[in-house]
Amino acid sequence: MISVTVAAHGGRKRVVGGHLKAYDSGRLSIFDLNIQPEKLEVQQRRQLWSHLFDKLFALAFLLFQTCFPFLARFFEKPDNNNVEARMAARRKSAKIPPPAIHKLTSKLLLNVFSNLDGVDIAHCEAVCKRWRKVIEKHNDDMPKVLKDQIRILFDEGEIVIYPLDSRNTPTRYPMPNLQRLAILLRHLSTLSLFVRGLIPIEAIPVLKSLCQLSLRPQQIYFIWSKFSQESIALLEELIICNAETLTDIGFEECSPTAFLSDRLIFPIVHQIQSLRVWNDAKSGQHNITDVTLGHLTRNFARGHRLETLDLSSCRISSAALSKLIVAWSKKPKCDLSITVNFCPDVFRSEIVEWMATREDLHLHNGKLARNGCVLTLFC
Amino acid sequence: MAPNFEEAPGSSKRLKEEILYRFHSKEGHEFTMEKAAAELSGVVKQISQDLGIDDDESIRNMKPIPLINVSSEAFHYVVKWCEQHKTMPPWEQDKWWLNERDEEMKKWENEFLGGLTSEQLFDAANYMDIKCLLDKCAETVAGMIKGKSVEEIREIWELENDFTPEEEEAMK
Repeated sequence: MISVTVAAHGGRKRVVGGHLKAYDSGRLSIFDLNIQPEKLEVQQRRQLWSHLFDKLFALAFLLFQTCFPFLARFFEKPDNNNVEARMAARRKSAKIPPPAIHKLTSKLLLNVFSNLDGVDIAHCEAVCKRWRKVIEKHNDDMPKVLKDQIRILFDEGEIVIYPLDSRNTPTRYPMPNLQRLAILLRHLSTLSLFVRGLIPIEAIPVLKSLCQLSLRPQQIYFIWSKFSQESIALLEELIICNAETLTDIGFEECSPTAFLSDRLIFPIVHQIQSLRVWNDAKSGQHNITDVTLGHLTRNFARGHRLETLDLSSCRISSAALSKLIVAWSKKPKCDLSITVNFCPDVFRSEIVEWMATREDLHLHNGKLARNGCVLTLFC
Repeated sequence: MAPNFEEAPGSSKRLKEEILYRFHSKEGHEFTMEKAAAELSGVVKQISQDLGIDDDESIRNMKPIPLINVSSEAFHYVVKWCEQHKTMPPWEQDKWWLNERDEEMKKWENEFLGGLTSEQLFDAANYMDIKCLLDKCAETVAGMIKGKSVEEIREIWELENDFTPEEEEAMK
């Protein structure tokens, strides 16, 4: 149950119990047990005292102010930062009372919100309960803040969010619990979702949560992740609910390998531009077969793009791969890089021979050039 | 549909032949609106369809349409808006780029909505299903929220912060 990197970094043994908290790994705690109860009590008591002190101080200050009003101007801050004053001034100058937005029906509010961007939506959500309710209910349709990549690194207990502008530094968050994770990501959409070090007991809640968010990624990449058998259905669902945007999918050293199959890829196979299913052959064979290759081959005839095909330990054959290469050569749209490793039924010599005899295509150093595009085959 | 004389900027002779829809506002005041203007409203279209009214004569003879949710004040503005927009191409909900207005119209729209003080017009646009007005209202209100902090938004719209401190903490 210890995830790859935790084991590799010699982290302490993970305790897997009812509360599902792995000590020292910064793992996601599925139930909110971050603070031990006795610590919580102490914290609350301390809060109570500081609260009381604040109140007393405020009272003293008020008394002081009423007794010596002429001193008050020394304490007054300049009005620049004072929202209220600024608003009042603005209103006075414009001479219009504000439209009564709180009378708007939810439908009209939605109409208004659809004109905003994700940052403003986040602000609106914090304004009042009614607005929050409207936004929560229609979270899927709300405008989002687009990010370049969201990395959820379970093994290091960290979430890293990369902004679109690569000159800006990415934001890092320590791994929160699942509820917080959903709150953190609710107004974001991303080009790429990267998940590392998922473990079976977390797979179901995490995937469920990812399905409910509308991150709309073009790329989903799982690395060193172990799914439980029950969570595979949710993984399928994740792919289906992002089928509109998803064109690039990858699984690296993920298990159980038998479930990384044609069926999983099927919902997006007609639009896939990049498919990577990789492992070092020690953890078993993937169930990606000639069926998927057949779909990809037919995609070429429809003028589709395929950029990367990286398959390891898959049940594919030389013949299907050769057909794919031939189909590419007839209608090349962009460079294609094919990497095939540890597939027992694929032999480079077979592919070369098949293509030379039937289609008169010849690979030079594993490369094939057509119409200014290059296909590279590593095999 | 009968040929639309109204769409051509009317000579005085044609103005006499204007085909008017009649309406009753919430307060019971009667309003009239020209056919081309009134048909910007999805509700008006729907009602005349349901009643099987398709020629100008039957529009003239039609009873006033009661609009029980629209106040006279709001309706006054709705009429103004529709009269201004009656010659515009139909509003495209999905192809928004076709809804481009020229500078003059944009200026007029902004001035028109800039002076508004209540949600009534917004409500009326919704109730009468006038797409172009509805979208413009939403855009205007959104413009007043854009780029503001939470406190500023509450301040402008006079909304009360009804979250408990714990709830507020949980959102951050």
